[in-house]
Amino acid sequence: MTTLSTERLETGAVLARAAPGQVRLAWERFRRHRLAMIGLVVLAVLATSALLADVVAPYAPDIPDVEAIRVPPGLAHPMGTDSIGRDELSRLLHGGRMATSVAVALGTLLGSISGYYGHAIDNAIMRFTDLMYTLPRLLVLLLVGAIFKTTLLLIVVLLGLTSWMTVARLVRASFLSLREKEFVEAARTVGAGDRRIIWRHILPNAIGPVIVAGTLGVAGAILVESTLSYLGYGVQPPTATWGNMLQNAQSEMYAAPWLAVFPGLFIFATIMSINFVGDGLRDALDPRSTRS
Amino acid sequence: MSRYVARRLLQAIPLLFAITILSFGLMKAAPGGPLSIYRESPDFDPADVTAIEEQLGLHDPIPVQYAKWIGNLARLDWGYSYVTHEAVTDRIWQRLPNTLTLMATAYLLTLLIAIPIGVLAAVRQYSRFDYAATTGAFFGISMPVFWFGLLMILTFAVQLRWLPTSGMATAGRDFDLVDRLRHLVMPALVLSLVSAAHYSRYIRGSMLEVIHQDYIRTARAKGMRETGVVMRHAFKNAALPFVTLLALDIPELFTGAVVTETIFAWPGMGRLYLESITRLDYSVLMAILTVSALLLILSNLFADMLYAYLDPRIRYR
Repeated sequence: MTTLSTERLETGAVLARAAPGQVRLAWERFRRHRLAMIGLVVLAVLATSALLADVVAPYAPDIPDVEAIRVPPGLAHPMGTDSIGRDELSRLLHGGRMATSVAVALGTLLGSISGYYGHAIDNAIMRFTDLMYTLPRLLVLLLVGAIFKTTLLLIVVLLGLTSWMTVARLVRASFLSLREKEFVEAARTVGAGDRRIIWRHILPNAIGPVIVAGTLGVAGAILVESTLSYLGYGVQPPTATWGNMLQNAQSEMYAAPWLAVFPGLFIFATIMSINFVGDGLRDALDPRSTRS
Repeated sequence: MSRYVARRLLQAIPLLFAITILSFGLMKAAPGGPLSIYRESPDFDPADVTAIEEQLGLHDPIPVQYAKWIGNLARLDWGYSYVTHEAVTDRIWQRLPNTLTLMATAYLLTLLIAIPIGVLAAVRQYSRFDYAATTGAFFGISMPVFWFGLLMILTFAVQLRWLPTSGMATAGRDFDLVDRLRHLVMPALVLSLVSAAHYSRYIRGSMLEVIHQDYIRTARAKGMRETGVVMRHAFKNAALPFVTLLALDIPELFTGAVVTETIFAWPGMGRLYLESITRLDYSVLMAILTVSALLLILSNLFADMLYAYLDPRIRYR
């Protein structure tokens, strides 16, 4: 697909990137991707309501109400209540914090890794990548989740540790191919130093697929986090996360089927939005893409 | 080629050591152990429990325990389960057929769903079918497996009562194929629909790349029928990267699907792993982790070799 580009297009891309307003151009392209815009809005709403959960949520997330046990969705409780009378919507809004922190922390981590790889390409590190790829990810995560007291911090660290490889490899691969290109040679000929070449000439060309992979990595991490919590090896109740709220939903399926629906819907909407945003970014950041 | 394979196999050895040391260390760092539940039981004297642990070598220094484990492994002795006292291999043989049934069915279904959808979506790019397939794929890719499973149970077992909620057979009944299939439908569908979403996108992508090549135009120009062009010329070439992708999924035939097996209470390898985690059954856990890591390494190598074999333009050094 993208590897079949011609030199001429590549040079054109560099010129376009050197021009000011490069970010604005990408934004213009992104804005035309309708689904990506919808995804962005959904994510913004979810993240904001998670951050402001204390203010927005209609009830306290962890205070049981014996007068309102297993109330089906209705006016007082838009998404119903669970087996001890906690408001499902309020818990979901608070649970969103987990997903938001995973996303923010992991995004930062992946970002700094790609920045770092811009400088150091090291054989030992690539061997370590091999090791991480060979680990049966879910099995190891479950093991660690079962052994150690799982806190939000630990989960984020673990997800980071097991999901950075794709981004690192991508950065490495594009650096390896880009540094042999004529435009890099040209820049070097006119006297550009290493730092300028890396930041000004190579990174802008390499960053598109990296951002896309990072975005999808965040979606994957949220999915893994909720899976761990669902299986009971993630963040422990009473702290609400979307995953652990589904943990008891199966046994409650006959008495309170709505409990199995809403938490999953939140996870699904989040992942779907991130995937749409990733798709939009792919179109916006790849100047060679055919859809314009 | 053989030198390349030899080098890759040699590289796998330190990798396997690293992985087993890592998992062994992790497990031993955990408080308690397989016998710790007896300590809380009034029927057992804690001193006896300690004595048995001593006898089993669970109090030896961790490097010594690891050395013993790897020494036994060198003689292909995987040890005994600390919970059921059966040989680890027996434990695995009890579960492996169930997992193979589930995973192989899901595999087959995945291909039957993903290939026609992917090919058609590429042949009719930007058609209504293509958009529907893309939307469906986005749904499948974004769907948390456990939620999908719960919704299936909610719909087909709880509401419609068409299918059993979980398990592999109706309790108290002898083996009966129809009964087994009724239990198999939902878990196999959940697994295959989610992975078909990924695969169909992949097939569509590589079909689109191939379909605009010169030799496709040549095939059409010589008067070949469109189905022949698509299947004989285009799909055969587009399937190359896809076949290697399939090879990468081989380890799953062994490890099973932890999540799906949990939701549907399917007694496979994934369940065995989770059950062993709760009891810290070291020997079973180590066996599953080691074999899956080994299979991951081998299937990666196999995929690379397959790719070079199918596409003579690719050479490895």
